[in-house]
Amino acid sequence: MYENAGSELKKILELVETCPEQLRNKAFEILLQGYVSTLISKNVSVGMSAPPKALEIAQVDRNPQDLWREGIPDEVLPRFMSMASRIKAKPERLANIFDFSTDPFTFSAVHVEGKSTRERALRVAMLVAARAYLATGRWAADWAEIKAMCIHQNCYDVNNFASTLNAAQGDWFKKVISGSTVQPSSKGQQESERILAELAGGLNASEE
Amino acid sequence: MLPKSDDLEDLYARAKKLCAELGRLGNAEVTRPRLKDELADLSRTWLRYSPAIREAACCKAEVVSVLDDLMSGLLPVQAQRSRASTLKNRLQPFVDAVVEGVLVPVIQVEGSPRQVAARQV
Repeated sequence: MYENAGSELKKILELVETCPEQLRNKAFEILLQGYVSTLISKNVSVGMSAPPKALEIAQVDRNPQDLWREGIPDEVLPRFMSMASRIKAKPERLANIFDFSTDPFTFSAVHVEGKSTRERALRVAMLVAARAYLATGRWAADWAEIKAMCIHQNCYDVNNFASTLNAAQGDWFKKVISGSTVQPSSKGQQESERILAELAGGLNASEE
Repeated sequence: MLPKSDDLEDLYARAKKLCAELGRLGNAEVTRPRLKDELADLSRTWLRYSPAIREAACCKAEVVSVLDDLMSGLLPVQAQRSRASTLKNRLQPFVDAVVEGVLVPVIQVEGSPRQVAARQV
């Protein structure tokens, strides 16, 4: 890969010499980076073998059993895996609840069950809080996202939306800030995980 | 700036309440200054929101135009004599159309994943 590196480096140093003193370090860095990236692109284009380690990783990624991991952001994956293990659901089934092809990830086609519009709206709020937790690590659902999801789930009641969420403060939610966020309480977090388990076919759901 | 869905919900609730109040008056002339003021204020509020809604292009322009016409008709209510039924006939179509035509699309914009992520940042 670096057969002619010596001569190329000389050329780079000659070019750097022509730059003003204060810019030489940066110029050297940029030129070297440019040189290295041309080598990498050449290797890819002529089909030269990649380092063995990288190849192994690529093969693992292409393993059909791990296809569900595709698109899940690296920072989300640890939370996602621990959530799957907590709710005793297969990670691939949990992944099916979300659409990771978009950034940020959204819900895929899921249906939230409930006896009434009120109950369904509350369950939607908890599901949105669970998504927020997976995405950011914070149990805080965005008010507008809940509303949009309620419209999607056909359980948006224009006259009672805010009062429904506010009434659950102190029970399922520890804090409801109208127009801003809804934070589930520990009971609400458990309920969120139970809803996810239900949708992902986890053990919690099948025990019921 | 696109009005918040909470503000539009509030506008809808006010319009609905006024509509019911006008309904109770039947064909009588609206003489209560408070009612006239509230109708004019409702109209002004909508006409203030309307350009931003139109600019955001999240709702059908023709729906916004229809609602603009209806609300413009309520604006001179303070200065002229009107029957409650006439005013209700202007307000009721607004109440009937604003949720599906404006509120829902605004909520969908506001609650889109990108907007949510931007707010979280």
